[in-house]
Amino acid sequence: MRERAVTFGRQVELAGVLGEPARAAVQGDRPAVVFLNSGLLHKVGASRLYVRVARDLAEAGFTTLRFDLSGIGDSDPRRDAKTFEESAVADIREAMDYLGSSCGTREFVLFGLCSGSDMAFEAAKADARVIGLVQLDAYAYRTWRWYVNYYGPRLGRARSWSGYMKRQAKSAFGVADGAGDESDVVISPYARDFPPREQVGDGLRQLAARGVWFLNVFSGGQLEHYNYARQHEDTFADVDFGGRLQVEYLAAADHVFTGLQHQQLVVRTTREWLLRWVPARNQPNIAAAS
Amino acid sequence: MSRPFFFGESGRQLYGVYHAPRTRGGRDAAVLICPPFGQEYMRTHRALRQLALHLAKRGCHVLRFDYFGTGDSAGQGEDATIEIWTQDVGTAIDELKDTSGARRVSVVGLRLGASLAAAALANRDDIADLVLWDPVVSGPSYLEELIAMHRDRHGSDPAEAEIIGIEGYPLSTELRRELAALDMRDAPGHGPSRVLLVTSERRPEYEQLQGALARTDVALKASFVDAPARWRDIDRLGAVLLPRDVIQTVVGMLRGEGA
Repeated sequence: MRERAVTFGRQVELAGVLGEPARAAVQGDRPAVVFLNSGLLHKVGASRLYVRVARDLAEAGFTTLRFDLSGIGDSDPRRDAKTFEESAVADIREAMDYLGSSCGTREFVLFGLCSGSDMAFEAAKADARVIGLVQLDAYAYRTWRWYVNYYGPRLGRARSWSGYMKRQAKSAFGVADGAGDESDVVISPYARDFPPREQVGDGLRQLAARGVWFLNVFSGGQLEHYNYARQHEDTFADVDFGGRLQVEYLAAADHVFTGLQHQQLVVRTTREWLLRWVPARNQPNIAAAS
Repeated sequence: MSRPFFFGESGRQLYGVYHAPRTRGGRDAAVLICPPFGQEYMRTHRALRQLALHLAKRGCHVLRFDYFGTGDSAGQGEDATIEIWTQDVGTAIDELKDTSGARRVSVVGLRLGASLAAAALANRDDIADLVLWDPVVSGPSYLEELIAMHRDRHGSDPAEAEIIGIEGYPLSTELRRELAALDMRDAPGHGPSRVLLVTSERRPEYEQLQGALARTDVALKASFVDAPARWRDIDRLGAVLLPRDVIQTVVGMLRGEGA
């Protein structure tokens, strides 16, 4: 495995680190894995998670690219009037073009945490070269069981309800505890509002019909959105993933995976997931068999 | 123009971004930027890029880089030590001199980057200014602050082990031992022609460092900018810091000498 610093992009210069597996012969046959910023965090990822995962995958024989979207990290901002989502999708497609021309890669897996997972989803819908998604803390929707888990232990405890209502009010009005002068703090241009569940379901249905493989890892760091292992499957029970969906719930992990053991779990899970389906994906009935 | 690249020994490649001067006819000024460690590194990446862009705009050659086992550089955090990082600062200075053709280099260090820079410059005669920006003056205090952040979040100290994780970043026994022995007040100010101390909050250790520097023969300039970064505020881990006033102060101080 070796890493190279690269720049690419038609409108502005985007910066990335290309991970090349030692066995160059496998590059064209396997999807490359592209890592997408979470919020304003640059391409190394929260707690350097992207570096760990990318290097492990390159060792396992996958070309990887962790790069900065325009205006983030080491990449220049775009000068056009695109929204954040539009420019992110355009940047991701340029990254795939670059890997196609420089490494001969025709298929891609997108990897992202939080807003990175949202942009992976958007880019996958827009570009059929995406055949797999690794989403860490993707869009989540409360199910009846989420409510039971969340409020069950609190029933009858009036103070909890009152605290909950206060927190809701705070988040609605954007008031942060202890907020002082915020002028020196930069907030991401991307406001993470979850789209309606039906809209995300439609997108997932579209991708599933295309044969896209999904690895969803949820942390226990956003209990207000996600609080049990099967919540994603329950939420999208009306989507036929064709056996190509794997969901992992790391209840003890926080949203940015600061636990070293949780980082290792993400590394291992991602590698094993890719190695399970990539070598055999062109064989018939693999989905049904897995 | 900025250019990302790897440099240094094979197997210990360091990731850097070189910012070429954007004005012609600039003087022979080159500035190396040494980042902090851990969550502070993540929070300040944007600020240090902005600093680099401002300096390049004023005619400086600028190099930002990541230490071994951090950021995009080779290696794992588990294998990183202060000794290696200090060598990395020296490697980066040599790289910047090669790239820019400059004979002397100024160095800006933020937080732990300031401590590493000060240690790395001690025996060099090719350093113009050293900017110490909110430096980690006392390694033991810094280590205690890191552990206190962990305690605040998790309710207990990290379990004693060869490698402990602090907010996502591994600290080996060796790194902790080195931090416990770090104190900038012991041997300040040898190497650079001038030391610029820039602080954004009032702390006794900054005053002690300033006092220690004043007792040496190095030219010292201190500047306080009232823009507290709240390095120890656990609730701000997700926010990106962009202290514009401090950046302007650093740029102004460096320009005053030769940029």
